[in-house]
Amino acid sequence: MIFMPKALEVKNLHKNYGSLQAVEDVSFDINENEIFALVGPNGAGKSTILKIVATILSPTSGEVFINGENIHHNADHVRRMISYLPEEAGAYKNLTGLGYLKFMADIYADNASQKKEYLEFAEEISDLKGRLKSKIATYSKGMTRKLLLARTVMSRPKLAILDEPTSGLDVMNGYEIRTVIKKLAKTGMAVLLSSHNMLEVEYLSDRLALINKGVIKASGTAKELKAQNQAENLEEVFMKIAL
Amino acid sequence: MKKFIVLVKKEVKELLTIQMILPLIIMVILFGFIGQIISKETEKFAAPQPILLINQDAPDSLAIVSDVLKKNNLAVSVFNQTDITAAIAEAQSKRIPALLVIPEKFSQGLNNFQPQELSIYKIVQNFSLLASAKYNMVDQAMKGINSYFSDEWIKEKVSSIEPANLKNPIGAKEFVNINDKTAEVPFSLVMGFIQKQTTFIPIVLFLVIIMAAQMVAMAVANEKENKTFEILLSSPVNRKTIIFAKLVGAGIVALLFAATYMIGFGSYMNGVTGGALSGSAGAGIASSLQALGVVVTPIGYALLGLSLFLGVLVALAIAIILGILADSVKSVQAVTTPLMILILLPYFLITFTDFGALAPGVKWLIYAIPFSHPFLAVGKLMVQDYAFIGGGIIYQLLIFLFFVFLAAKIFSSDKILTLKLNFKRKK
Repeated sequence: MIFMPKALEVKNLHKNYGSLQAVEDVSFDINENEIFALVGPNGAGKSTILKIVATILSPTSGEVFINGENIHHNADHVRRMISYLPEEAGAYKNLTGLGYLKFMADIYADNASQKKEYLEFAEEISDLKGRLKSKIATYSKGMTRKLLLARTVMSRPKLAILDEPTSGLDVMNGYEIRTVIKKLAKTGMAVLLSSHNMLEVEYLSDRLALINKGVIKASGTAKELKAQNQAENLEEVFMKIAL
Repeated sequence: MKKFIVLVKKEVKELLTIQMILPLIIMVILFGFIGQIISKETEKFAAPQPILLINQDAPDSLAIVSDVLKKNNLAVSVFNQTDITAAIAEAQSKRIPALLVIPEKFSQGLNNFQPQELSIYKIVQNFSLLASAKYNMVDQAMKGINSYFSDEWIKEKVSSIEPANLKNPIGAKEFVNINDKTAEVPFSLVMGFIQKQTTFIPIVLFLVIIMAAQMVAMAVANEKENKTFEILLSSPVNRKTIIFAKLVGAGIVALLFAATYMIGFGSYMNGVTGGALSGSAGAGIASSLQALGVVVTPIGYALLGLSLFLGVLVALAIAIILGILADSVKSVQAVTTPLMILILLPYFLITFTDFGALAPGVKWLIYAIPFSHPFLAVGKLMVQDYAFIGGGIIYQLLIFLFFVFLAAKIFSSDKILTLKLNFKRKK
C-alpha cells in the first residue's frame, strides 16, 4: 500500500499574542479533494489558524504539515503548494484585472507556457470576461472577490486557504463563489476555509470543526454533528456545544 | 531575479498613478511659468524706471536734477503744475512709483552753500519684493544728486583736490582666501555665485528624500490595509526580494520625480537669475573661483550623486519599517513624522546657519543623522573635501544596511502583521 500524505495536518497548534491565547491545542487534517471548514464566531481564532497554515504567522508551539512537509522547515517550498485568500482582501487598484492576474502568474509560474495555462484558467474561473481589461479600482466587491478567488486557484495549489470567502457579498455573488469552490475541490484541490455562515459551511464542506475562543469544540461531518447533538442545523449544534 | 523584476514593475505601476503624475507636471509647468514672469519683470526692472518731477524753482535746477536722475537709470517725466495732489493722482494713474519735488530757491540756496531739501513721494501700489526694489532705485538716485552737488561744492572750495579723492581717500583691493589658495575677487561675488550654484541642490534633495519616504511608507501601509501583503507574503517569493523590490521601485519613481523637479527648478532659477550664471560675467567669476580651487569636478558630482542616492535609500529603508507600523494609510503621515523631522533638522541647520560655528554637540548630532550628509556634501564639493564626503557615504551605507537588516527581520517574523502603532486613545 502506497502512503499518501494528507493535504494538511495540524498538530497541537498553539498561538499566543502576548498574554492572549488565540489558539489552544488545535489539531485536524484535510485529505486531497476535501473541503474542510473552520466554523466559529468573530475572534474565535479561525483567521489566526489560517494565517499560520499560510506561513505568514508562526505558531507558538505545534506543527503544521502540508503534503507531508513541515511548513516551518521548508516554508519556501511549501508556499509553492498553497494559495491563500485573506478575508476582505483587496487587489492593486491601479492594475487592470488582467494585469493583476499576469503579475501573480509571473510569481507562481516557472515558464511562459505555465503562465499562459494559469492565466487561461484564472480568466475562466473569474468569469469577468471584458471587465478584466478595466482597472481594479472600478470593480465591485463581488468582482474583486471573483478575481481574487481566480488568483488563489490559478496555480492549482494542493491546498487553497480561503478566509471567509463570501463575507460581505450579495446572494448572487456568494452563490457563484460557492459553486466555484465546490467544483474546484473535485479537481484534486484540498480546501481549508473559515466562515461564520453555518448554512454556507453545511453546503460547502465535507467536514468541519466548530471553534470558539481558540479551542476546537467538535469536528466531523455536518450530518454527524447534528446527529450527535440532536440538532436540526449547525447553528443549534454550535449553540449547544460551543458556549 | 525574474520575480524581483516583476515585483519592481508592479511597484512602479502602483506608484506612478495619474494622481501622482498630474500634480508633478502642473508643478513643472508652473515653475517654468513663474520663472518666465520673473524674468520678464526683471528685464522691465533693468530698463529705466519712471519718476515724476515737479519743479518749483528755476529751469536750471530742473535740468541738473533731471540729468542726474537719468544717469541713475530713471526716466523723468515733468509735471507742469505745482499741485502735489494732482501730481500724485497722475503718478497713480500711470503707475509711476515716485514723485520728486524741487522746492523754490533750491539752486539759490545751494549756490550759497546752504543744505536744501527735496521732497520725495513714494507711490505704493503693491508690496512685492520687486516693487520695493524700485523705491530703492529712487534712494540711489538721491545719493547721486547729493554726490553731484557735493562734488560741485568741493570743486568750488578746494580746487586743488579731485572731489572723488577727497570723499574716498582710501580704496580697497579685495582678496579671498580659501584653504591654501588666494585670488583677487570681491567676496560678495564669490559667495553670491556659490550660493546661486548650490541653493537649489538642497531643496531638490529635501523634496526627493521626503517624497520617496512618503511613497514607500504609503505603499507598505496600503498593502497592509488591503491585505495584498498577506497574499504576497504567502506566495513563493523570498521576503528580502519583496523588500528590495519595494526599495528599488520607490527609488526609481523618486529619481524620476527628482529629475522632473530639477527641470522645473532649473527653468525657474534660469528665469530668476536671467541666465546670468552662464553669461560672460559668470565666466569671469568662474575663472576666479578656479584660481581659488572652488571647482566642481566630475568626481565631486559622482560623490554627491552617491550621497544623495544613499540618503534616499536610508529614508526608504526606514520608511518601510514605519509603513509597517502604520495601521492604515491615513496614519502614514503620523508615523512618518519623526523621519520628516530627521530630514528637516539638518536641512535647516546646514542651509541657514553657519554650520562650522555650531556647538560641538549639535554638530555631532547633525553628523549622526544620515540625511545630513548629502546636504553637507554640497558645500564640501566646492572645496574638493572628498575624504569628508566619502566618510559620509560609508556611514550612510552602514545605516542603510542596518535598517534593511531590521526590515528583513520584521518581514520574516509575525511582526509584519502584528506590529502597529495605535494612535487611538485607550479606554
